[in-house]
Amino acid sequence: MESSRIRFERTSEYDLIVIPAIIRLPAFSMKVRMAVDTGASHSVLDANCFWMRGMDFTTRTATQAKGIGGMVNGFEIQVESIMLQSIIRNGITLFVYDFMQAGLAEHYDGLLGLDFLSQAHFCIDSLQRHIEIRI
Amino acid sequence: MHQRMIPPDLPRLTWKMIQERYPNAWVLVIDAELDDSLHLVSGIVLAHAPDKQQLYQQASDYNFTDTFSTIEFTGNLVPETWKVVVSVLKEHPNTI
Repeated sequence: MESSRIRFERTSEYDLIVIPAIIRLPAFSMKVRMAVDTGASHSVLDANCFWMRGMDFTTRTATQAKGIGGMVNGFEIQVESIMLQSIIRNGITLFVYDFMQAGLAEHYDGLLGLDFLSQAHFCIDSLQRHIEIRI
Repeated sequence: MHQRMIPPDLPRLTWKMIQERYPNAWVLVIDAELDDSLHLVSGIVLAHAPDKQQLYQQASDYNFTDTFSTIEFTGNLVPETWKVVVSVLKEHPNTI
């Protein structure tokens, strides 16, 4: 069983639990900041992460998601893998939409939702500020 | 899109040097080196801007997909008094 302990910095009571992750696609890899969100059914990533790297969504089928601010339009992208330290999950599908247009806070690039979290033993120690993941 | 060449003479900087050189800025770091916790150790700053939207626009001028990259903020990301609320439910495909 693979396990990893991920420390997070939550600098004030107003901050979220944000952890670094590496997302791999066939064309490129990138480091992103993912907010851990057990209230999200699916993992989400800001479309700008792809647009700025020249990825085109025009041939993809649009889909929708409901957020706290209402419905948003976006796309689904299957990535090769998401890596959290030594934890690697392959073939994850991300819902992608424009965070900037939606007016979302810019201090994270995406949300790590239950589609990712429910596939592992996942324990948040909010006092010690770390997350234990076992797959 | 992707019209500009990456300047060949950009220096490699440590994260501390990047923070000192570009305070309270968003930076696009290419050829990024991370530690085991996936925090930035060093890299080459390709673009920097005071807000993320501007950085996205600057970044789209370049083709840097053949290098491992990250966007970082060099200051404090969440101002005091903010209350951040997230969460997303994705529609079932059959309902769209």
